[in-house]
Amino acid sequence: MIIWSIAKTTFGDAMRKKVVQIFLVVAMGLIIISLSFSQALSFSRQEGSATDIMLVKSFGLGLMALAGWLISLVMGVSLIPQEIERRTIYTILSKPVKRFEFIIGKYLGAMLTLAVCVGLMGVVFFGVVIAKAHGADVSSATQTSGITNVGSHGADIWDWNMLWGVVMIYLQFMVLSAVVILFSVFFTPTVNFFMGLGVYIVGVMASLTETLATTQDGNMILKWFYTIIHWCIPNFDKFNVTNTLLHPEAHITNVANYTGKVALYGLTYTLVMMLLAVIIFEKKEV
Amino acid sequence: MGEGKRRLLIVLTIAMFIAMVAAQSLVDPMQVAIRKGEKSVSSSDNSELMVQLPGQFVLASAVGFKEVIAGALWVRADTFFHEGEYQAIVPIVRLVTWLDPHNIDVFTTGAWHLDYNFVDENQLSDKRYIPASVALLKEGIANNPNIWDLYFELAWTHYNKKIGDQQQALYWMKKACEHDGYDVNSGKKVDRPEFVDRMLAHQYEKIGDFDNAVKQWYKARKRVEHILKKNVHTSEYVDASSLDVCDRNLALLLLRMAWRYGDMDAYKQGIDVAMRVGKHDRGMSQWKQATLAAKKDYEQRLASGKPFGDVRKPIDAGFQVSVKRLSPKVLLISGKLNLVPTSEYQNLASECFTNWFAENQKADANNKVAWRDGSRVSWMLADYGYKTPDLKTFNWKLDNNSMVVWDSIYVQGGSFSSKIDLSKNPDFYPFKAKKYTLTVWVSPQQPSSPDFIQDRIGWKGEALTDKNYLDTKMLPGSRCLKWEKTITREQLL
Repeated sequence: MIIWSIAKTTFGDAMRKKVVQIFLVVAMGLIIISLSFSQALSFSRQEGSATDIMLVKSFGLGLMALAGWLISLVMGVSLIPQEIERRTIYTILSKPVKRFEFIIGKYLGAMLTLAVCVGLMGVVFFGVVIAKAHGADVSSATQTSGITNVGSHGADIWDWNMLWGVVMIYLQFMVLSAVVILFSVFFTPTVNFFMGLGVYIVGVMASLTETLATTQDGNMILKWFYTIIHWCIPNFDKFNVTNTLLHPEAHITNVANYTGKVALYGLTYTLVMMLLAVIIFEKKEV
Repeated sequence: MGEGKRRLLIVLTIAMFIAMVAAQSLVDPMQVAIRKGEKSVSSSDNSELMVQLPGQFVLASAVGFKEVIAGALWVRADTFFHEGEYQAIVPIVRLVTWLDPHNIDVFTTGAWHLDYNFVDENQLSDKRYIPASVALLKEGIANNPNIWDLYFELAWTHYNKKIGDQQQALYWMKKACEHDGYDVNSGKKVDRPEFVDRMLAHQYEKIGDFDNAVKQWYKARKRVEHILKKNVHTSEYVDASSLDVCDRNLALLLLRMAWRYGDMDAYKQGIDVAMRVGKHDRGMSQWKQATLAAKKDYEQRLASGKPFGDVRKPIDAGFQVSVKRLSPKVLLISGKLNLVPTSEYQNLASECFTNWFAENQKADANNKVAWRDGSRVSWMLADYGYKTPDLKTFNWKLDNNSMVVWDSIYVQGGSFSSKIDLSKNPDFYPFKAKKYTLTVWVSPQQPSSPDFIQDRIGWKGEALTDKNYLDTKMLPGSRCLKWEKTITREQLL
């Protein structure tokens, strides 16, 4: 109950922040603007409408990821330092509120904020995709040589793949927020912002660190370095399946299975971060 | 918090970390499976590509705008295309396929540019890019293995038309026929176009595998029937004419098997199919008349029981080639080829259907021809011992010191002549090797020998003879004509 109260207060505070509101509104506005995207390439064999829809989806998912990333960082870095700076933490912790309850409440508040933000952007995104698909000229040709088209289908108004895309975006920010909360226990907001940014960039390039870890022939130090990086830094790359989702011919065999396993990975990583945050915060002098 | 609880939390953290590593181990193989095609671009190539990408694009790609960036680059490529800046397009193609490895259009267009659009001042394309083009398409196939498009592109455009390796073309065409397509709008699986199946039949015919060619025509026809039945309301392009195309091709294949090799069973089947096709024609069409004439010919041959076959009678190709250096790096290739004098068409079995010889005899002096033109002589100039590199993955690093160039010359009135100017593009023709091989050859396969030439010499050049240049090794199972000469650099420069 105490945790839920802290979460609700955190959510209220976060949603009242001008910077969060601006990111949210700008992101939703840009998603709507993407409706006007047009890319009819004269030497392309693909119909313009299909490319348009793909671009709208790609742009929308990308923008949600970008806005979510900014909101996670900007909101997360100040969650705990702000309470210390304003000295409100003394009031909170002097009440029968345990430190771990405070950390978990803050985290859940952040997750609630992100859920609302991603949810709102998601609703706008789906509206835009539906509008684009509805207005598209659906007599597309699928073949290379442009001679014959058999059994063509109209653009699907509702694309379930996009829902998985939105879920994946939320899951990766669940992990990023946990990392930022951990950092906020001992870093200043500015340092935390750049640390969080660094972790995100390295995590996005996880497939590269994995390759580097396996291709360092003979150099054991580098091999171990990249191996540790690969296993310790959150693999945000795993949450990024936009390209696969955008191309219907390249289906993930079992989207639910994959998403489930990625969610399990995200959840365990989040728990590790939260446990570390609690352990450190318990010893921290405020 | 007490020390005991703290220790418990640390143990719990370690346990959760292990659980996290285990969860990651579960996801890793799935991620590899999802992106297996993308692995064909090695990490070093990725770094190379990343360097080419402007910083803001790298950042935008990293935060999730890969496809948007790929789209923007593709628009840029379009601009270059219209400006004729083909060289500038291919690096962009490489970036786009890296960012968006499931964009089929980019693979096909990129391979086409590599194959056709790097041309010298005489419009000869740089053949050194062909291995890269094939590797790019194979990479595209690895990324998109479940659709027919890129298999077909590799088979028809590259191995068949560009490289002329008909066995490879057949291999990839079969692969294309194992897959369907998808609708780019809805993502729903759709039938592959029926022409893919027809092309496989043509391909079997091309390599002389007639049994499989006949089977494939029946298969292609059956598939058209199936598509028509299934998509009676939605199919916009497949109609009864697709059935007609299958039937006419099958009829001609069977009739040619008969005329060329004296196969009476094929003759009967061919006439049956041709009669069926003719039923759809209005009035007494040319096809109907030709079919009736063929039927009469068949009955006469059946009654006489005499063996026949247009390719049984040998024809001396009288192949002669001469090469003259006109100026440094400029050659004149000329020669003679006895394909095909009009008189050779007299009394051919196919004449009953084509009636070409009789029509020519009746023509007035202005329209009467002494030769049936249409053959092409191919030539290739390459470094001595040149072998086409077999690239496993896409590779930009061309050997700029190597040289290989080929083209073909039209044969008219039994002779051919072409000036080959390699002096204007030193990047294409570096002339760094000490010795070169100039090969001039004639293949019985299309497009070097169109149908009416094959009517006389056969699909595999069975009727071809030549006292000097007959070759049976170049195309196993076929008779070709091949002239070869080693030339030193001094002789060329």
